[in-house]
Amino acid sequence: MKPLDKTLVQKLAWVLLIKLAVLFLLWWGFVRVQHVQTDGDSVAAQFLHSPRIPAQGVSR
Amino acid sequence: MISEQLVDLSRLQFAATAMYHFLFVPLTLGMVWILVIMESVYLMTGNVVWKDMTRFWGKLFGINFALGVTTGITLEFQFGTNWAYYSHYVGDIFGAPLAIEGLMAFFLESTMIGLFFFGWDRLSKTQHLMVTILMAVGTNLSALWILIANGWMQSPVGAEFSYQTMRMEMTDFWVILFNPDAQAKFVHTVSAGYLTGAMFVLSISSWYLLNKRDVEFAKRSFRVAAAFGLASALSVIVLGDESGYTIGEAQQTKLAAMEAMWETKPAPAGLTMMASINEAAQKNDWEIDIPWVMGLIGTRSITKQIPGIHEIKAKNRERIVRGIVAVNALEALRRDRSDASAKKTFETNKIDLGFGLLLKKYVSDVNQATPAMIDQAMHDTVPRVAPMFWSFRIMVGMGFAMLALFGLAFWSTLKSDCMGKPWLLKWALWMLPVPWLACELGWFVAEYGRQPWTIYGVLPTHLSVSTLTVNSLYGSLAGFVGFYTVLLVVEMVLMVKFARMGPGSLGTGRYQSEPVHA
Repeated sequence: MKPLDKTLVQKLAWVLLIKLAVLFLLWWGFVRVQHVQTDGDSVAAQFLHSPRIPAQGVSR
Repeated sequence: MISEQLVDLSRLQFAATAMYHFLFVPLTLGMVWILVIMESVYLMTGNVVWKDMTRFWGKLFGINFALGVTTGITLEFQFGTNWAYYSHYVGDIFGAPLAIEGLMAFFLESTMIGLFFFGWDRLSKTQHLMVTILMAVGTNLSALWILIANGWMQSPVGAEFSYQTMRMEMTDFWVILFNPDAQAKFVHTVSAGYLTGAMFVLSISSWYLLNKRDVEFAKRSFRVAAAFGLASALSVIVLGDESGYTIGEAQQTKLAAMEAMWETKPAPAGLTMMASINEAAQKNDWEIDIPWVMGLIGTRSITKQIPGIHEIKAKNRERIVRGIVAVNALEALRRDRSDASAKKTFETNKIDLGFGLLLKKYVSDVNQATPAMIDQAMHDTVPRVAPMFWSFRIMVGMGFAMLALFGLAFWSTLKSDCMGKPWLLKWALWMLPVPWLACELGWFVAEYGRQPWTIYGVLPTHLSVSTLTVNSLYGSLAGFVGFYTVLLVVEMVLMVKFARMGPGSLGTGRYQSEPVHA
């Protein structure tokens, strides 16, 4: 492999690693704690007029 | 009721990430076939310049792929995180093509990309070409499955709602697979990708030719791009017309909004080229029409009418009223699943269930909906006209401008005088961003035009979102936009760097500006 190609491959490998890390951090920071129940009953509660309280995003 | 802010933020996040993702995708779709053409010529002629062309343009393709990969994964995760009710409601159908895309297309594409870059010295010429072809097939299969999923959102065929599970269930996989809307979208979208790839190669080759560097390399690249681009521009326009026809069949509201067609006109309707759209008064203050054309495009006949917005809205109001009956019957069935009368009523009206659910934006119990609320829901069934009308026209205008450019470029390469036309080379260079803009506008028309539905006529957007906290959406939205902007900047820096270096970056000793290594 030519030295230039090697440098490019290294750069792209770093980009991929950083991408995975940033996406993981975004998930860890904003998504991980959010949970939404979606079984048939909770969908019925959300979509229809039902006394049941709709499922909410909750923190764990 | 779901907060509108939550719905808007969820939509904005999906739109932002999808639009960033589609900056990378079309170049991958198009460039890969240009690599196949170049490598095939190398195999047939043995002329090493064609191998250099494949390797050089392949390097730029690789940069784009590396930067673009994973930007689509966040979209798939968003279906679960931000659109949980959507995922429950239609996941059985929508999830299937996405899963097949990952297993069949993405794995194939990713494996072949590794072999493409690292296999030059390890594979025979024929084996390497096969790898490049499989890489192209993989990327295009990937687009096929994604567009089958998206096509189903536009025209939900081969599925039925089950009141027991409260979700849509697949009834016929093959109907979903061969959904005309999906097939028309697929061929139109990949053609737009081919055009993007061709424009990329044409523009950079033009820059080399303007600077009179690596002329033989650039001329050949220009010729391939011109021929491939001309075929792609013709395809994208013809197949776009087909896509317009399928929209007319399956999504009348979208077609009427795109054409600012407020009233049903006598067949065959004229095509409105320009109009002053008065959204408040729901009419065009003035318009310039070409007789017959819209009727022929939209119906393929001279006798069929295309319904106008007012007629569509009036029909949709009736569907909303029937939808209330469907919602009530569904509620009764949920209370007592053996209620035969409720079941019969539901079966009769279930086609309008989604229209009844549109009222949930305004009232939690649809029985309490006032005539004013029903009118509001009726107006919601047609997206805002001006953004649709103008986005579509700008996209089409760009398509024809690219057709003219590629036509002239191809003609000049036949005459072997592209070097003698610096204005053409400059035009090609400045047109570089145009296919991306056209692609983004095309997606805007497709997705904004589907509103207020996530699944057209079945599931309203405001019922599809997860009940998350607004703050978490602001945080993740800012994170994605910031991060994707950085990726885009890195992509552009690397692309500009390697494009400026030109084929000299291959270090073969055959080109100008060869880098010197100690």
